[in-house]
Amino acid sequence: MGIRCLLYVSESCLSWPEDAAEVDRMVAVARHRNEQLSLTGALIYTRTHFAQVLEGDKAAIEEVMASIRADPRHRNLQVVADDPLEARYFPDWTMAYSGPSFYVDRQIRPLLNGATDPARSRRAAAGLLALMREFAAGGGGAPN
Amino acid sequence: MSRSQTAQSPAPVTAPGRLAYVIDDDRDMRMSLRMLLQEDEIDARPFLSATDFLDALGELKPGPILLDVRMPVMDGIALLEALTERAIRWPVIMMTGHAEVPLAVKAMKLGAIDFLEKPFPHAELSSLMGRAFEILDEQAEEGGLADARERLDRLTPRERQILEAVAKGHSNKEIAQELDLSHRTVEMHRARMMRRLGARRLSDVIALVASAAR
Repeated sequence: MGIRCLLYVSESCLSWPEDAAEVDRMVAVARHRNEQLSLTGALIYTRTHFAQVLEGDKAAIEEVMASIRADPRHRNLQVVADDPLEARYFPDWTMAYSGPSFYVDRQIRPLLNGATDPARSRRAAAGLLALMREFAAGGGGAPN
Repeated sequence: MSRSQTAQSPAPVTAPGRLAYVIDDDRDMRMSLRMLLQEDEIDARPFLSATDFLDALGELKPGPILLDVRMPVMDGIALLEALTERAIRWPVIMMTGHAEVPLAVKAMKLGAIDFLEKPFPHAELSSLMGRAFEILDEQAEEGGLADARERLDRLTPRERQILEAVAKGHSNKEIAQELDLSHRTVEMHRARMMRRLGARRLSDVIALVASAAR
């Protein structure tokens, strides 16, 4: 069975400054679980939004997504890409960016406000994926 | 209202010390950034090029840098790299018309705090400048701490003993008794300890000890 790639975006329910410790906890749990399920990908957090890409078996992605959907630390989760994948882009699962960057947030925000124009949403999703790959490549995320 | 009265109206007052560096080859952009920053009570010192900025760097005090990406000769990314090489960690905010993803991520990995895409809302600039000054304050605190520890490490064990007693508020006479030294010897050690710490007053010493203890 082939692997898939799923990308979702969501709004954070966390508030500053407790969010940093909460996100750390989330990452520790996710890293362990994703390793068990052979899921690769990346998470980014911008203090207002989350975005996560997951690569792996359909069943494993579904299992993780069920628990992610039930997580009260975010809301308005939208799956913006769910496609078959020939080869993984991410060697492992990492926290690709965590910080207050407006630039990073701008790559997520347009994807949350309903898919009015499918072509535009696909472009935005591709842009966000590219950003996550770029952050995850060669030495992880930004210092802040 | 007469002309002379208008001419006398006071210039906008900016808070002392709030200074940002604007590096952009576009004159209009430098002007408009200067005006925007002025509204937030931040003085802008403009530079026409990255090389001009590097030439002046030695005499500049730490401040946020608003840096254009596309400039002739030395671009914004090259300047970021040059700053990293010189271990300058002042907060840098990049600016460009449209930030391609690889470029934006490269800049942020090089330490830029964010990427403004022109034209940007004033609120975004204000918020970023606020963050930049917070980062500078944190860095200054860290620097002061490291400096205090480093200076305390220069003391001899005897000078350290005297420092501890002085910080507790003991007089030279009391210290002489505690350490079984002559009053003169205590005075001598105390003067040398102050000199090594670069402290002129007792309050300087106490502040130094307090900041090193944090």
